[in-house]
This record gives sequence, structure tokens and C-alpha cells, in this order.
Amino acid sequence: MSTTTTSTGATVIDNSNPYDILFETNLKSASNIPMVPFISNVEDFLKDKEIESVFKQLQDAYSKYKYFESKLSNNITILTSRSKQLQESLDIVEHVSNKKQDSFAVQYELSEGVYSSATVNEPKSIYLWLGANVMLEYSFEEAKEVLKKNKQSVDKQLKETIQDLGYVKDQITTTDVNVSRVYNYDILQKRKQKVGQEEEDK
Amino acid sequence: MASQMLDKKDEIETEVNAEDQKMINLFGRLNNRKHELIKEKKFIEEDLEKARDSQDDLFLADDDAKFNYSMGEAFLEIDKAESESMIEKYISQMEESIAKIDQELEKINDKHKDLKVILYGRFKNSINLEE
Repeated sequence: MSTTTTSTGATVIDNSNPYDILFETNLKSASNIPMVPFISNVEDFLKDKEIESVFKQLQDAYSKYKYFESKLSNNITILTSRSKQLQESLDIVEHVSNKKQDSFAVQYELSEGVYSSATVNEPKSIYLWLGANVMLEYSFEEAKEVLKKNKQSVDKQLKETIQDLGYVKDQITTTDVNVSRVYNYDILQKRKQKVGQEEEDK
Repeated sequence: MASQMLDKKDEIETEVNAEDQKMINLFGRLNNRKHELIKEKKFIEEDLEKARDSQDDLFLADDDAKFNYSMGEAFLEIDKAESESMIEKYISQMEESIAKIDQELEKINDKHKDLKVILYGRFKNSINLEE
């Protein structure tokens, strides 16, 4: 995701669809995942090779990519929900910062399922939970900036993961096609052999 | 891609070249995305329906009533007018998401049509482009 910085130095969130990359015909890996070799000619490819070992090799590649696929699609789920959470936090900061001159009531979660009320009078700052048991006070503008930066980095990771998953799916499809092509070739060879045998027998 | 046995007369010996492989990959990749989008759309539509129900309930409520609006892990106590405007914003955001999904689906369908013409043209019955 491209980072655009306005003249005031504020971070702007890029709203383009991270899935657009999937329309590319030549999809590359974002993190150098190896590519399945394309078999341009099955006969040449099988020359001097045991058919069984070829199948095994293809099967191994297939399971490796399947493992990658499930890992990446898991990451996408996590990153998507993290990005949504950050957007929610941004919305809340935005909402509270619009009430600077006001007082308003909130019900906040005290413990799971237990809520308590609080009245907020003319809020001047907001606290962000940074993780690792640290919470820091920010002005509204700073808080928005921090959240936007975090969201931007999550969105960037998400975009790259989407690209990699698309790429891994391509490798799985290629392997599928390779398997059927080798298989079909093998059947044709056997059929030819059989015909040859029958003619000899005559 | 489902496999099935073909009659001998339907078998054609077209070698798959690198360009074909790229098109097949693109087809499969977009097909996956299509199914994801359909699922996602269903979720949003359910949410949208709930939000519209809340909107109706809100309309019937007393003008001076206070509402607890869920935001993240907390509830904000706000008046009727503000609740209405917030829920309206939420609904329009969801409607926008659905419109975007429809747009992407249409783009995928167009691409699928193009790819089918080319690939079925080359491989006839030897290829099965299932959705």
C-alpha cells in the first residue's frame, strides 16, 4: 500500500482494494516463494525418469504448497480482523475528539460481562493500549496518527499476504495440471504399448 | 477441477503451453476469490438487516430516550438524534461495501467469460472450468 504524506505530515490511509492484485496474469510472490517448474514437454520431462518417482516428487510439492496455503489464509484472517479493530479504534477516537466541549456517559467493561458507568467531562486526551502492559496518553491528533500508522502497516502486510496466497494457489493449480498431464501421458504410452503387443501377437 | 473419463473421440491432443497454464491459474485464483466474496456478502447482508431492524426500532422510540450505542468494547450513551445519524452512517457504509463486492464480482465474471472462450476453444472437452 503506498504511503502518501500530505504537506502537514499527516498519514493518509489508502483505500484501494488489496485484492485487485489477483487480476494480474503474471502474479509474482511478494516474499520469494519458489515457483513450480512448468513442464513444456511431458515426453522430454519424463526422459530417463521413473514414473513413480515423478509422481512422488509432484505429490511432495503439492503438500508443501498446501501447507503454505493454510498458513497464509490463516494470516489473512488475523490481519483482516486486526485492520478492522484499528479502524474501530480510529472511529472511537474521532467520536470522542468531536466531544471536546461536551460531557457524555459511557458504559465500559469492568471485567468480562460486567459493565460500569462513567461520565467523561470535556476530554482533552485519550489513552492507547500499546501492548506489553503499557498504556500511553496521547492528544487526539497524535492518537489518530499512531492508529493510522499501525493500520497502514497491517494493511501493507495484508496486501502482501493476499498476493502470496494468490501465488501459492497458482502453484497448486500448476501442480494439479502437471500431475494430470504426466498421468495422461503415461496412459497413452501404455495404450500404445498394448496396441503394439497385440499386433505382434497376430 | 473435477476429473472425468472422456470418450476416446473427445480426447484431443493439445499440449498445454506456458501461456495456457497462466490463464488456467488466473481462472482458478479468481474462482477462489469469487467464492470468498459471495460468503463475505452474505455476512454483511445479515448485519445490514440487523442494523435496519434497529433503525426501525429507533424510529418508534420516545424522542427524549437515551440509547447505549455499542462502540468497540464500550457503550456510548447518546440521544435519539445522534443514534439515528450514527446508525444511518453505519448502514450506508455497509451498503457501500456490498456495492464494492458486486463490482468485484462483475469484474471476475467478465474475466471468467473471456478465459472460458479462449481455454474451451483450445482444449474443448478436455478441460473443465467449473465454478
